[in-house]
Amino acid sequence: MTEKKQRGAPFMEKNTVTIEIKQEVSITLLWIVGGVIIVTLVFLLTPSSMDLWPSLNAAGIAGVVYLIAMMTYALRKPMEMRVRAWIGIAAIFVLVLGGFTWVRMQQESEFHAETLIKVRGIIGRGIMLYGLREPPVKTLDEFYRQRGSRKESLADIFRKQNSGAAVGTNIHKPEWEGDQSQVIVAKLEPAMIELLSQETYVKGRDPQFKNHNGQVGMIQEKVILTEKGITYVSEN
Amino acid sequence: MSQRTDSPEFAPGFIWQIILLTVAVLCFAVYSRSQEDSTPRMGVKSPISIFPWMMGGKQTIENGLRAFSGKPPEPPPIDDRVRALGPLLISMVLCPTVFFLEWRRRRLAKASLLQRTPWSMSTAFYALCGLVTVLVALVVGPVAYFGENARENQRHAQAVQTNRDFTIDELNLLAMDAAQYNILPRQLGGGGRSFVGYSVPETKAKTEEASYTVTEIRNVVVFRAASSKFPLCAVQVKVDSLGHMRDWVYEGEFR
Repeated sequence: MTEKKQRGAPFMEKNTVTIEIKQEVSITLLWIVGGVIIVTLVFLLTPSSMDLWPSLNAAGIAGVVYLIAMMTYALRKPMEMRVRAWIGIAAIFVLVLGGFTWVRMQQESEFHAETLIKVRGIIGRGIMLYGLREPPVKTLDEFYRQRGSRKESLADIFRKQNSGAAVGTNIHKPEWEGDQSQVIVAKLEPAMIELLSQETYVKGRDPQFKNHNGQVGMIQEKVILTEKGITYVSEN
Repeated sequence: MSQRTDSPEFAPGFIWQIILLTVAVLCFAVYSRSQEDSTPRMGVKSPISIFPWMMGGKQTIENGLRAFSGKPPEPPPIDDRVRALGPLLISMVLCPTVFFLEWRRRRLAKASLLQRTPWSMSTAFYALCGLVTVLVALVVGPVAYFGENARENQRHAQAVQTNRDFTIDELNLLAMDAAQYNILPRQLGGGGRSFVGYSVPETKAKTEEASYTVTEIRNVVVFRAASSKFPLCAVQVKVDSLGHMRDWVYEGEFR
């Protein structure tokens, strides 16, 4: 610019400056437009998934490549070596930290999503156990309260306590709106009663386990009541 | 070499064509994605952040909540995609490009009078982009550091909560065991309507989650579960003859 000023006429000087600014703005715009197109296309063209991470990660990598290219361009000669080195090191430092935080955020959100499902499983088992525990304890309690020689069987008492109870019926009474818990009578014999409860969407330990309702791999718990007591079986 | 040239390298309409093309590509992309299913979603508030990973996290947690409620996961809606792409373009493309290229120009130009215009739209934009770029660069370190700390705290809290939930489940089983001991006649190994003589079965006394002891036996039995994983954590509960549990007392981080 200084050279131009020294050798050019005022008219020429004005023209040169205008062209120069336009070109620099054009180059900046070209970089931005190029970057926007590349990052956007990579983001949108990454195969669709239930999570944003595949698109974000791919676009992030494209963004880093773009940043490296743009900074290499911005820091090219005649920029002093010292400045290039400092900014380069700082940029690498920021990119590494940013990448680290990015990856950790992904891991953390996935951990929390998995934890939610795990917690749901624990809560589900707790609710099932609560629902399964009470009826056989009541039946056993009444069975051993009987006096005299003629005693009712476990099944008789159970039917009396749970009206309409038969094999395959649900004896759970909803305790709140939206309570979908079920306690199914799986076996109802004079000296043995089996009750079970299962989740309809929370997976248990064995993915191949065949559930009572025909589903596969869901949590299922069972209690068996005999005259000798109650046995709890965590089936899946 | 200076960047100055005496002739423009681009035709006058070239840049505008590129910009229009970009806008068209973006509009097309937005339109094509808007055809996706847009049923009501689990409500997780959208984070406002310059960091693109926030929206990724939000989407994953949202699907976790859906799984928690027994609903199938959903693909991210278009507004979440835009909210994720926006910060990415601003923090990785727009701001750094404007800042670094303008900074280079100013540095190499040695600040001639013309380029030292005190205030203009372009200067303001350059300053804004510089601010965003520098801010992102400066903030990313503390974000990484504090994020790690927060993660450790969250994982610890989660582990304590999970341990507590498992312990409560195991206490439920012990309550059933104690109730049936109370009910069963002595001939069958029960207490014959009494808790006297009851003790926690050996197989259930120590598990991966906690150690269980009976601390009191009267008309109720009092169980105390001391966490195996968190030594200061414990829970105590009274169980009656029908296995009903009451008077829960939590200790340590279980509170």
